[in-house]
Amino acid sequence: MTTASPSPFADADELTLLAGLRIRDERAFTRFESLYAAQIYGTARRMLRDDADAQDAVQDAFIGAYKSLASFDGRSKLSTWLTRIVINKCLMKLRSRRRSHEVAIETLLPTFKEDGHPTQWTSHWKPDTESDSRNQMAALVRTKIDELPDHYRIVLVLRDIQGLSTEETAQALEDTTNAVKVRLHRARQALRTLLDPHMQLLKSWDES
Amino acid sequence: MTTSPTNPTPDELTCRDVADFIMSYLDNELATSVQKSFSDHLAVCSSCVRYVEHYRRTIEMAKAAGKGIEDVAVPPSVLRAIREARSIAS
Ligand SMILES: [Zn+2]
Repeated sequence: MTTASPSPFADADELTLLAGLRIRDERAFTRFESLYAAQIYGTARRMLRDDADAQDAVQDAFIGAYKSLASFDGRSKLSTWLTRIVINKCLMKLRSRRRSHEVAIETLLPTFKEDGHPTQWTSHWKPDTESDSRNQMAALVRTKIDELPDHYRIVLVLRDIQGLSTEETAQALEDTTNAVKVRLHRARQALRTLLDPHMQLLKSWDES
Repeated sequence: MTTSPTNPTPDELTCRDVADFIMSYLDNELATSVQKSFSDHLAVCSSCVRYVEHYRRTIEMAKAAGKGIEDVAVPPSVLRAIREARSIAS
């Protein structure tokens, strides 16, 4: 993922490609698709965690892109534009499959007493070197990310996993950068809470 | 966390403030005086030191988990459907 240096059309390739698409040159379409199909499929798979849904989203994104090619103003890169479209398709999918048992984010945030002290001291985590194998850890983290409420998970996926900037994420979600920051922060705090029981160095004897 | 995440009141920060402004702290977006108060709190509060460390590791683990999802090829049926959609481009 390119983090937006807002100099549109830094390279001539982009211009040539866009011009080719505009005159419906088959070679330009082939190049456009081979450059970006796999890339946005990755984006969709990370957002949706379901291959069939991700394939739908990719297909819908290209269809959407071709439909609106004439109105694409060329002020952003083609990849940024297409990524934004696929993110929107993914968001539509996520909204349609909204889970009924989603937890409230508040239950996953740290709590404090009136004087600002935490109601519970922070636990001790296993040092990096002692944590379980990387693959195992990654699988656990993915299931925990899946447990985050959609509204927060999306921001964490776009920022921390896709590597979009705050501005790019705000654009994609049609939200303010401040709202994105607040949601990202809460999402990270919630993920920490979900990981906490698995990361603790010492488990007390009465914990099941 | 209802206020802007960039300007808590300086001088003494509570553990709650630390939890609220940790992202701005790690991104170096706090005013210098607040950044200093943040560090001052960490110097005397081991619970917050651990919290900041957990927060940092959570970000790292999320990034690593994302890399674990390796790229796979787009199925030919999808590529075919996309090729067929070229005709709608105008
Ligand atoms: Zn503290």
